[in-house]
Amino acid sequence: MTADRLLFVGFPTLLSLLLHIVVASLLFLRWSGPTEVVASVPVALPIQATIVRTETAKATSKPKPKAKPKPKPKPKPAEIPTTKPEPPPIADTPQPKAAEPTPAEEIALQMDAEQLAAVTREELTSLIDAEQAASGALEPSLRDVVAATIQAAVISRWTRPPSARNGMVSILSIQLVPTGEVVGVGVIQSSGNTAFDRSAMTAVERAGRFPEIAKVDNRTFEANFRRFQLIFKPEDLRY
Amino acid sequence: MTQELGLLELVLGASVLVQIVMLILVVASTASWFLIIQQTMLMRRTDDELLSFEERFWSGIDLAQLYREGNQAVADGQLPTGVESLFRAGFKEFSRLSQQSDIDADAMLEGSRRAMKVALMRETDRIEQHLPFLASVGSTSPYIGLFGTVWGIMHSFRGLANATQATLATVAPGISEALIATAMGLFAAIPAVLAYNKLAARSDVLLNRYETFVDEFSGILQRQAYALRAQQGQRR
Repeated sequence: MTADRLLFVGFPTLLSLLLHIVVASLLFLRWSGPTEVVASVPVALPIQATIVRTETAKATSKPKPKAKPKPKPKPKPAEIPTTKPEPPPIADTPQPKAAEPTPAEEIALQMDAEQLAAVTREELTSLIDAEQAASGALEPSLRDVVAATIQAAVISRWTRPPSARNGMVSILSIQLVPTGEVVGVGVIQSSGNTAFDRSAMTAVERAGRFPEIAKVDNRTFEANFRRFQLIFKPEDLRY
Repeated sequence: MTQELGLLELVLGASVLVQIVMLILVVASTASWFLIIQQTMLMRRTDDELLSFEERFWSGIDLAQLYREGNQAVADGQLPTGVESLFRAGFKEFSRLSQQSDIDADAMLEGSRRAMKVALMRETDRIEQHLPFLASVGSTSPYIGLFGTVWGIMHSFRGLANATQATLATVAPGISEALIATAMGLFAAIPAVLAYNKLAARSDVLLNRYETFVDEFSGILQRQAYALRAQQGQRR
């Protein structure tokens, strides 16, 4: 009798507890993360307001656009070793070189591809070094972060008028002081819709101040944020 | 993996009411599994007993002999269960009534049938005792889980009301932890419902077989009763 009862009470108790413990521990331990998915979720902003540096900024640091076309035409000179120290020559060189290409092309073809690649790579790296030296090595990341914060701050305050349409573009020029205060806003390129332009200006005025600017060192500020452009371009509208 | 939202953190981070709901559901699930296993064992044993008893019953053994065999177990304090209890109740009543000569065959039969009916009722109770619990776990635990979920979601949305920047990330953990309650409710309910249906069907089959046995046995008893009374009438 007692043995029987033990069988009929103890066994099921044990089994059901065991089952739950196994299920629970499997769930708790093998809870493989949906983290990757979460991390990849961030998608394009519904509204695009892009920061673009203005002409004043270009004067101080020569941007990539010039760096790119250069590497290819370069290898023409037959004396390959001597060209390497040359990279620094920058903005002014393209034109004289551009005249040469046609006779040089044959020589370039004769050079084996590896040599060509080596030369180009070296030139590229030295160019990049030069550029980084010119504009402070650590600066890009900080600059990008601040640019992104400014962009987000403006976007969150931007209420578009009902007349806004996809494809409208309006470019604003913004002037800041080192404390981050906005001291001037102006339309550089109108979208053709005054209400839209005004909404963009209002967004910047409402933002009023970008405290993050204070973190940026003086040089970067002068180069990028003293006067810059914001491109307002709605992409998420229905029509 | 560092920022991973562990299940354990979700459960521990839930509000007190949701945690209570989860606890209730875990207990309900454990109890229902306990009953599922126990009842399955019980059914199997009862089936086996029925088979072996029917085999002995139809083997042509003397019924008084069969009754006496059971006496031994009863003397040991082991109450007869299953079909044997039906047989014993009916036979006992029959032999008791047959000793009183002024009771006719129909009354004897009636008495033993009634005794068997009582024993059958008792058996039914014993077999179906725990089925209502499984049924109520099966039907209510989804609602309990849903209650926990609704409460949890309510909370996370209330927290959202204070946030200036409402993003999906602010509510998502709350909703996720609230939904665990529903998952647990379903986890408890599904096996309970399945087991309830299966056990109910099995106990129906078993009880039908008991009733069949009662009818068959009373047929035998009827034959015996009339034979007995006929003998007594001749002797007189």
